[in-house]
Amino acid sequence: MQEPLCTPEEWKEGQAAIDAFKEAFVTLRDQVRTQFIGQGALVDDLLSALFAGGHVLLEGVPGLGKTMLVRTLSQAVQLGYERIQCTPDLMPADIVGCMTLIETDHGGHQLTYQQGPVVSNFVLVDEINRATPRTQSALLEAMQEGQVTVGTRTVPLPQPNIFIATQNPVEQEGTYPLPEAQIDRFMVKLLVRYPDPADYHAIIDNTTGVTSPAIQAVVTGEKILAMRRWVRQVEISRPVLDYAVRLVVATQPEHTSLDLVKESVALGVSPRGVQSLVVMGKVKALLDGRTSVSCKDLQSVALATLRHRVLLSYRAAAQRITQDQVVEAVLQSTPTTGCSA
Amino acid sequence: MSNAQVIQRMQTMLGPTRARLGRLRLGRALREALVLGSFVAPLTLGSTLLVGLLVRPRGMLTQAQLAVILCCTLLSAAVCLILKCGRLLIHRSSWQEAAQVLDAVGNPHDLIVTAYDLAQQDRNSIFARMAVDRGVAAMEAGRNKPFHLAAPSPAAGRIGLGLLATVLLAIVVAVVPRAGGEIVTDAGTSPADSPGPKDASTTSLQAQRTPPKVSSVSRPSAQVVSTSRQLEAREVLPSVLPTSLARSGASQNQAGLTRQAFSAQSPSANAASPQETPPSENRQASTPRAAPRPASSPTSEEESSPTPTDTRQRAGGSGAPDSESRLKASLLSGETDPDSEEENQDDLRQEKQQQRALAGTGGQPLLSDRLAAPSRELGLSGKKSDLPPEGRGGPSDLKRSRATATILSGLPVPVHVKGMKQQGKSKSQARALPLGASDTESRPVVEARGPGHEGQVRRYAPDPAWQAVLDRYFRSLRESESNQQSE
Repeated sequence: MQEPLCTPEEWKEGQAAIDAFKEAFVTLRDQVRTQFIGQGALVDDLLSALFAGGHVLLEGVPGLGKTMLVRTLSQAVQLGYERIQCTPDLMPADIVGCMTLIETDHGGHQLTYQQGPVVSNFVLVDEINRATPRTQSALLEAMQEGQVTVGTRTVPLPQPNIFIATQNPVEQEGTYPLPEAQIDRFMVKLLVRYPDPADYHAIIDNTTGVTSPAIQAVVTGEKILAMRRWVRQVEISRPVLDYAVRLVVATQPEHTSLDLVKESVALGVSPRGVQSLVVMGKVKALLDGRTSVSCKDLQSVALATLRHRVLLSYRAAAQRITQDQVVEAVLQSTPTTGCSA
Repeated sequence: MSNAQVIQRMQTMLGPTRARLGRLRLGRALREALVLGSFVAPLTLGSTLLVGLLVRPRGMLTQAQLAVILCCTLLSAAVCLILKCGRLLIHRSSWQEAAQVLDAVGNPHDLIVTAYDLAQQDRNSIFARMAVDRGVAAMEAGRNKPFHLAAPSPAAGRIGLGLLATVLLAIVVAVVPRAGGEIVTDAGTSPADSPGPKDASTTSLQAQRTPPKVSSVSRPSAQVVSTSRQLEAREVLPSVLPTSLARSGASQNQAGLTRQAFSAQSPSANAASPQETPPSENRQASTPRAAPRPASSPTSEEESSPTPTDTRQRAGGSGAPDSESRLKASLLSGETDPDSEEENQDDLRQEKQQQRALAGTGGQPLLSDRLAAPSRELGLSGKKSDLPPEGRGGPSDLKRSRATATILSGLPVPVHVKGMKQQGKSKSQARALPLGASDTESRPVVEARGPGHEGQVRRYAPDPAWQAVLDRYFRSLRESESNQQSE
């Protein structure tokens, strides 16, 4: 056997980064699971999005612990935490802040910027679909560019920064569906489902007793930033990247050959969707101890990263076709690199 | 160790996989070509065979048509082969494809293809080098694993059906008679073999289509062919000439004379039943047997356009028997020259003679006298037509006095009674009654022009199907008239 391309020192360094990533991930996951019982895949995806540097949209019926999950995660990381409880009368200034006339010590007045809750590391936007579209649109700049602009003042958000929003898909009265531009800014959309029946005992024990488990902050902001850099260093080969592109293009009705997409999809996945797909795939590869992304990694995160970017047509809605069905059909119809031979 | 060395090493290990991949792809392409060819080849064979049978000579195949059928079939098979296998010659299996195959066998995470690609991109990050090393290790571990390509469905039934269809069509091609000369008609057996009404005329038609093989055989065999044709003509003529004469009804005496004359020479003529055959077939039957007329034969008198009185004289006189005797003599002589133009001229002469013989009997107008058709126009009252009142095929005076319909059936043709002025509502299409207000809304209306303004007139607008029938009828009528005029 010939000598490897990587020197032993380099190999050791790379392996140490992988191990550190996995260790931080597992530590954080275990900490969250002490409070949030069950839903292992949901927690993994949530943490993956955190380390990938994206924002998360949690969707589920009431009572499944969406807010508690986010609150638990905020306690497990040493980050600034803010909560925005969205209501119909919430104004954009309530989110991004505003210029306020403040009385100075010398008796005078000064117009100063009073920052809103959005200027924080960890922002929980609870019941986001209860806010009006004008209020929702106040989050666009913050989520995409990591800054807010008030008047002539532009305020950068502290890093690492993550927005986790929750919404209830059942209630329709008094809610405002998120616009496409808003939805597209979430890296993943995670569906919070009912827990397994076996987990109910632990849930009841944890929540109906006198005391609840204490959550410790196990991951700092700097470590999260370092892990995000490692994620970005994970390699992806051209054939795997081609597969990611094929997946995304297959969701676009004007480019696909899939009948289901042509008939059911009004708007396909944007290039931002490919970015999210690849970055989340990198997190999966790193968690698996590899330094390169495979097609299986992309497949495992395709639902979470693509489902909310597929805008269904009225015909699909009438036929009760879901976004997950469309993405799964695309996954099944798109050959991977190994199958192309 | 550089990325170039890694690539070289990986290619060395991927070599057998790549070669095996090429062989598997070739096999798959051949199977696909077989599947495609099993559909295309019989289709081509059947279509070309059908076209060959439909064109002249109908129901037969010439050597050229047979060659075209074979060439098209072989060409279609070759095209299928090229379509499926030609791509492999141009686009050979790449190293990356070989790496993908190995990954598909044993690596669920695309380690080999990623390593090869990253080495090709010369990525030098730690994670990239680690990925390359992992890929090389995975390739060393799994390069000897057997792999298979996703083969298409066998489609054995389809292939078998296609091959069966090809064999059946090839048998049909082999069975179809050739028009290139293999069938030399035997005068004694051909009429008996031919089924149904295809007796004399069909036999003579086959003999006409069969080119003489005199040049390709020895002199005695050529004499045998000539003798057989003479015998065949003796059998054909008695069944042809009386039939045509009987149809025309020109002269029973002539027919009787002719029949007696033939019965004296060929006893088998009485056995042949006089069937109803159209004159054109009779002409075809008699044409190839007609001997070239000698140069001294009086043709100038026949070619000059005779007057109706001449025609009647010839029909009732000795003109017709002379032509028949000449025809009989020429047919019995057996001297044929199918390529000469004199046959065609002789055919025209015979046609003229037959028309003259039939002229004046009411059966068929004499078309060759080149007279203009009589005026069939009713015309307005007191107005004469420019065309002569008499002519070829015109109505008698009695019929003309009763008026003849010049326009289409189904139209409100007014009845013009001689001596009664303006008996009908109108006299022609141009003189229709003005329409009412309700009619103008529901029907297409044209406005009459001219000095005598008559208001809006009705235009007959038949149904589309009926209109197509009428168009076809008048088009064929005009074509036949133009053909007659050109002749």
